[in-house]
Amino acid sequence: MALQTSGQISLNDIHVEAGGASVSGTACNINEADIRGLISASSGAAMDFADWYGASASQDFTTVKSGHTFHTYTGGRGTTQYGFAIGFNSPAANTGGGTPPSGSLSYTGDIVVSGTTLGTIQMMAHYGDGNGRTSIKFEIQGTNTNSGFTTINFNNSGTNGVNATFNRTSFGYTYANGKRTYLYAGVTRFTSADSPANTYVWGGSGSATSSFILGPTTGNSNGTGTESNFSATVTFA
Amino acid sequence: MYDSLTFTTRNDDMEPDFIWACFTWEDVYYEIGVVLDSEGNVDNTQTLTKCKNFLHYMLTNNL
Repeated sequence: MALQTSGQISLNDIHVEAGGASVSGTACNINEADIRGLISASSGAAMDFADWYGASASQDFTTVKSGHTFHTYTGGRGTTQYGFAIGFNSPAANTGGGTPPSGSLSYTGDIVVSGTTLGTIQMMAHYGDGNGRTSIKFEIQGTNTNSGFTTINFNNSGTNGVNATFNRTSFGYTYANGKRTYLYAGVTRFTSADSPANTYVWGGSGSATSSFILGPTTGNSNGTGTESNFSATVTFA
Repeated sequence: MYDSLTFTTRNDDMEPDFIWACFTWEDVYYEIGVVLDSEGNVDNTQTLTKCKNFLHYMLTNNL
């Protein structure tokens, strides 16, 4: 949670924001790396308590650029169907083909939430499983610790109206080879209020899923590429 | 399928009232929220089924 934006602010308030509740009441000084790190101040720099108004230990990465694949393939009874996957290094679109897309993230350092380092994001994807269900998956390179954040928010309200927050405990968790994977699986569909007008149809038989959280708004064509026409924020808290 | 799967439980570090079912399958560690019965106790049968479903979903979707 960010510090207040006005009024009295104490060194302990700042310390707790930087180091979490466990450091409350413990000795600290204003030049400690985690405390001045909240305002990106260098060691020994002149600082004013007002500089910490609104400061937050949460690291948000913004304007995420994701990759995509979009392709056609021959489905049942010879019909032409369409495959689409999007995300940051998301899985392949489906058995119809398609190369897993790749993209770039605007923030590639460690995600730090209230002083706890989660690790670096390896993948952030939202995709369909071909059975009318959608999933959210993200991977963090780090230690085997299913902890460190309470919620994750996907906000693409600037382009397609999606602003959804999920509890960490609503995800399944796996760990192997230094990689923490969170999966929110088997969602039938998000509510209509979350669903933008330009959802993407998965297959041609009506089993639609949408890729809207990190999705682009326009400009897709056959092939694989990195999106340039969308923005989204993903925030851990 | 997955007949040898067993799970243990742990309380979440940050939300102590939340209980995870924990298991390892082929060197991959998994956690998924347990199923509680009407009295708020862990329903072992339903939780085991949930673990198997989660594992099956992960494996069959190559996740």
